[in-house]
Amino acid sequence: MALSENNMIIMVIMIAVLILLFAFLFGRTTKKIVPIYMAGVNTGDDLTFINSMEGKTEVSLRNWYMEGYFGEFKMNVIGVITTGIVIVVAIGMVAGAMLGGM
Amino acid sequence: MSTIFFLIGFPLIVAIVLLLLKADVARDIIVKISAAVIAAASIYLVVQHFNSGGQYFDVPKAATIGYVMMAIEVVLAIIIIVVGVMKKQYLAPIFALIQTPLLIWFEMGTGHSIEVGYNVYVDRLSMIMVLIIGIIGSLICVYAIGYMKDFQKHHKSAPDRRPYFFFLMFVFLSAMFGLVMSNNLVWMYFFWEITSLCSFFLIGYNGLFHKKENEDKVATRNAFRALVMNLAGGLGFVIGIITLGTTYGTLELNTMLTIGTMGYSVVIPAIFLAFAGITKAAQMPFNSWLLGAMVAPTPTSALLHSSTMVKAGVFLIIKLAPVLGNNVAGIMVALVGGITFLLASFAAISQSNAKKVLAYSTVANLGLIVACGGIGSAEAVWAGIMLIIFHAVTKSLLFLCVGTAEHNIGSRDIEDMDGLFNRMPRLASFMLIGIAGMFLAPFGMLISKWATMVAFVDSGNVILVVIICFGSAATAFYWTKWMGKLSAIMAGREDIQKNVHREETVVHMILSVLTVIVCLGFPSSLRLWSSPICPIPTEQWKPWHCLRTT
Repeated sequence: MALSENNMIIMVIMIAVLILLFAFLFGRTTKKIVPIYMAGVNTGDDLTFINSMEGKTEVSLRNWYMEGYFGEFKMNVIGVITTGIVIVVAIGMVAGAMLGGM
Repeated sequence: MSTIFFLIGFPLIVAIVLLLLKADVARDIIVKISAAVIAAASIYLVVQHFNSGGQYFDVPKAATIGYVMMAIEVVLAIIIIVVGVMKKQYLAPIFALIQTPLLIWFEMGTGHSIEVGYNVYVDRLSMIMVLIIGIIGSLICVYAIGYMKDFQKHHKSAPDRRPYFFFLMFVFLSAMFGLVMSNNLVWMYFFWEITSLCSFFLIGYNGLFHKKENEDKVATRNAFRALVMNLAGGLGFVIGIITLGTTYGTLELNTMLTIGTMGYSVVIPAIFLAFAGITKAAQMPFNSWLLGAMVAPTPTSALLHSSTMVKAGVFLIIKLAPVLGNNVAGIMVALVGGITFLLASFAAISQSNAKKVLAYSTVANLGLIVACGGIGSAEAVWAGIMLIIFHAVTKSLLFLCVGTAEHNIGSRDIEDMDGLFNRMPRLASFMLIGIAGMFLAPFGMLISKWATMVAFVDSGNVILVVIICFGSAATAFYWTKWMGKLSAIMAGREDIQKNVHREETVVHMILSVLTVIVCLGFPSSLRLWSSPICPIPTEQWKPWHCLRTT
């Protein structure tokens, strides 16, 4: 098979570690858990803080989409042109062989 | 052989029954029972042929079946022409007008005198596809019960055409079963075209047969784009059949593969059949139809456009793998697959619409499978088959989760999915399992990508090795982003989980369990998907053979 014996053993170890990891994750700790400091004083529920205007701001996350580097339009144009060339050349070669043989 | 005909015929009967039923309760019961029956029949088929590794069948009255298929193809072509002219989209009718007469001319002429030995068959790869279609396909139909109820609520102005929707889903299942078990290429083409048409009608569900003011023009446009590209592939299929029939006097897939591996060149039919596979699998330059198909209801996206119909395209390419390889066809297929994988993975990074991310990810993974088929070595085919299995299970789970999320939080955008663990904890867990299944160790996709990388390195194709390294790195970007959004705990969100239909939750749970089982069970079930070119004879195969190094 494609994966040799060594790789299979590695995979079995990975699965074992994953299962053991979750076994160790549960349980209580005796350490003191303190509130998080965000961009301001925590209001108590670890999710909102007091901002510089004395109002409450919720924590939010945003993602970086890198439209300039990986934009859909650019990728599609590059893809269509390159694969289009590959397909046209390949089928052209085959069509040439077909018609040349006639 | 009766199981095969049952698998093709039963969903067809259920489809017709569902087309005529208007009552909700009756439809629910029939869909659930049929789904269970289809799944059981698929498993029974696999159990039947597991030890023998597959069989070829001579079908009685094959000529009559052939004529019936020809008649249906003519009817379908007329439907395409009528709908195309009605909507003023003329490219699809033009393709239909070229394709169907061409095939009929061939069938009546040269094809008439070609003896077909075996029309129908089952082998390892077909068994895997049957399991995917039977289990995952049926599960998605069950999910669609709950989903379409919400869909009707959201689209109150549209008439209730759910009977038509379920009719199309079950006809599609029937056609897929026929596709993966046809040895006769003309029969395979017939089922191929039916799947294209089902896809067309399902994508255009909101637009094709509506009155002008209710019509979703985007849906109509995208439906025609999908139809045109799939018909272009169908034209390639027809040319492949004709060249194979005239040059070698055979219409059978297994004969073509035998001829090819014996040393004669079947590159010409192979390249055209591979071209058909490329269009159906939405590879670049044809990927825009899959992206546009995301306007369809989510069960359609899950069934057709990620786990089953596009898998028919890669199924054909993997089947052709023994005759691809170091020839023009193989190089074309491998390059198209690799380039698609790389660029689609990159494009997914910039998308925030969840269904578009899933669509680009699907196109990318299909590109990888296509590239494996193009290389054609035994280990590449093995890696490709693993990719098919793991991708089908995980991607359908993800699509169904996104469908449920969309109906309950009102948005398909990843940016709106933060705090999902507060609002819908069960759904968020399922989605997390799905995302983890797509790129984390030790889930299946990572193992399959590993096997693919080994296969690419062994093939000596440096371009493909570079492509898979950079492409796989890109996948980490977009999945991790989504995972991070899901895992965030946000303030002040209430639990809206109770609005989720029970069918949807049950299907999510089954698919999540399948994701885990398929990963854990993979070493022991290797025998089921060992490469068709496995050097150990089936009778002597033992489980420890999966640990061989040669």
